[in-house]
Amino acid sequence: MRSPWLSREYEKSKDVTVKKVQNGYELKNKKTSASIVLNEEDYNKYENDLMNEIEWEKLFYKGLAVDKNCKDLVIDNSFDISKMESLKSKKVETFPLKVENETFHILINPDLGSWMSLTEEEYKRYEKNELNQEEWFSLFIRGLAEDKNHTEVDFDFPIPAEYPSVIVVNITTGCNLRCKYCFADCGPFKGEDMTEDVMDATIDSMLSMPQVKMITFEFQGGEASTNVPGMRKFIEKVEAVKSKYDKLVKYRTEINCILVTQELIDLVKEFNVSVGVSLDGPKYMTDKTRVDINGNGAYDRIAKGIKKLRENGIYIDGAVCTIGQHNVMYPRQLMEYFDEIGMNFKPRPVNILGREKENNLTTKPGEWAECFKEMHQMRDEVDVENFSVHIFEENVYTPIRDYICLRYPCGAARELVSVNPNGDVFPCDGFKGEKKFVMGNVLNEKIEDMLKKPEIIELRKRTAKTIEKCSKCMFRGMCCSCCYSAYGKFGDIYREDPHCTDRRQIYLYLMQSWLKDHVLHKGEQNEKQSIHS
Amino acid sequence: MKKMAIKNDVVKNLKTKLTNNKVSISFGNKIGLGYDGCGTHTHK
Ligand code: SF4
Ligand code: SF4
Ligand code: SF4
Repeated sequence: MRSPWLSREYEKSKDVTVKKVQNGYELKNKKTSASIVLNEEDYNKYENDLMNEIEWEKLFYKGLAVDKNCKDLVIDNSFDISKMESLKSKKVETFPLKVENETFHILINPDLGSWMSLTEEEYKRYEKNELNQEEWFSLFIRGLAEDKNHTEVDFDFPIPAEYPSVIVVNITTGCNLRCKYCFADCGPFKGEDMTEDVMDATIDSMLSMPQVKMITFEFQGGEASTNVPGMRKFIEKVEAVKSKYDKLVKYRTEINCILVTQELIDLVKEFNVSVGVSLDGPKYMTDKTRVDINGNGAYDRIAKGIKKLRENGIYIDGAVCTIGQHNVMYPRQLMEYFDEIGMNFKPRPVNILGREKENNLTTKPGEWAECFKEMHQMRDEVDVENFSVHIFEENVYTPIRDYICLRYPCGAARELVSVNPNGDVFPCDGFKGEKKFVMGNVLNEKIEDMLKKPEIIELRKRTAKTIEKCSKCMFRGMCCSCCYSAYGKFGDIYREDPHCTDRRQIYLYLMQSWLKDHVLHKGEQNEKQSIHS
Repeated sequence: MKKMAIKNDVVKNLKTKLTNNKVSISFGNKIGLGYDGCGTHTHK
């Protein structure tokens, strides 16, 4: 049995003594008297720190090994693994997974996204209810088996927020580019700047929300950098009133880097604004989609803007790299490019709304998954972070669901809301061009009250259960269909993600990749690590 | 260049309590793996 899900870094416990006994070695906890006898082979592994995560786990839950990173383990006197009677859980689904020439059997709890891989031999025993107590326990603590005596397993992990801590402030709808896939359908032909009354109402609405301690104002548009005076006005207004509220405030902006003026640089420096940029890779990729009104590629202007920011000592958090027909076939080149320019990046397929609906630049089923796999395989060859690799690995390998777009319910009208220049509020900035999704207007009501409207409560309850395909999907515990993308593609938010096929392929691939590295080629992995360290 | 050294298959700060009728596992950190998304682009 093997699984990264719920795995820790273990080490030997100082409280454990070892004694040679007739049939092997006895490990005994001096304080609790808990003990186990390991045979020669297992003892050698223990002695040389060669046990895998599941073998360590057996010792850990008996108090015979410790978690390197967290000493917070309480074993009540009433607890006794040997009294547990585990049995298969109806919630669990199984499927075979081929990794090179081996076939593994995956048990998965689709609600939790927890999983365990079994060998053919283990799986046969599982089928016949012949696993031993410790094996059942490893399944049990992952929600992959039940206990006849009704012992429950309770996971207390951070849950989706009730109130937004990030507000996307669309300081203008104008833009100096006309990208082919722009989901907000922005361009130089139209532009409305945020008015002061909307700024005041937005600031008051966010800062007066009692439930949130830290608020991030994220400036977008259109193109936020075409309205630097508006950004400055907004920030100065926040600074002037923030001491009245007990809040921490952060600023961010997401810009296209076409217009990096001294004004912008001063603002970013003065208020410590985090900066993200949009960049689809080298010139021959970026110029195909990020174009101006005349259809001219913007790469050279973007590169100049980035250079100017950096020359002025501004650190760029990362780049959103939109993946579509213009770059999906170049994963290697993308990784090398971002490595070369030293910028973390987040590749993600074109979402389907706005101009994308006419231009059809998004990836075809399977293309994004192929691109992802190749980038994942070369993750150790580069010095920059590929955020998508991190996010997907986190969801497949751990119970943590940090990323608000890959967990049900998603962050729309939870962690996040978005406000347009006229004061209209949307559940997510992805909806900012869609009138149908206006939650209310800051000039008339508080955001906190908008969240209480029946239609918003309904939207906030959009889980896998409410979507036919997702409700039956094995991966629903590690996935989420993007609400606005589903709307863009199907005209209905209660549909699977438009890149569903790729998602499934990515989840399976990551399971295979882990098994390959940690089970089939474990030795090589260690070697690799020791070379690196 | 700061590349975060994150091992995605190890969860740090898992508190564990084993009792007769309940096994509780809670996550001490507010955010996972000491990582708060990817700057501006936490979503999409
Ligand atoms: S994607 Fe961004 S930069 Fe491009 S047209 Fe839309 S708002 Fe402007
Ligand atoms: S979007 Fe697709 S992969 Fe994700 S939960 Fe729904 S059906 Fe499953
Ligand atoms: S609507 Fe899509 S982009 Fe917006 S928070 Fe939800 S999943 Fe993320």
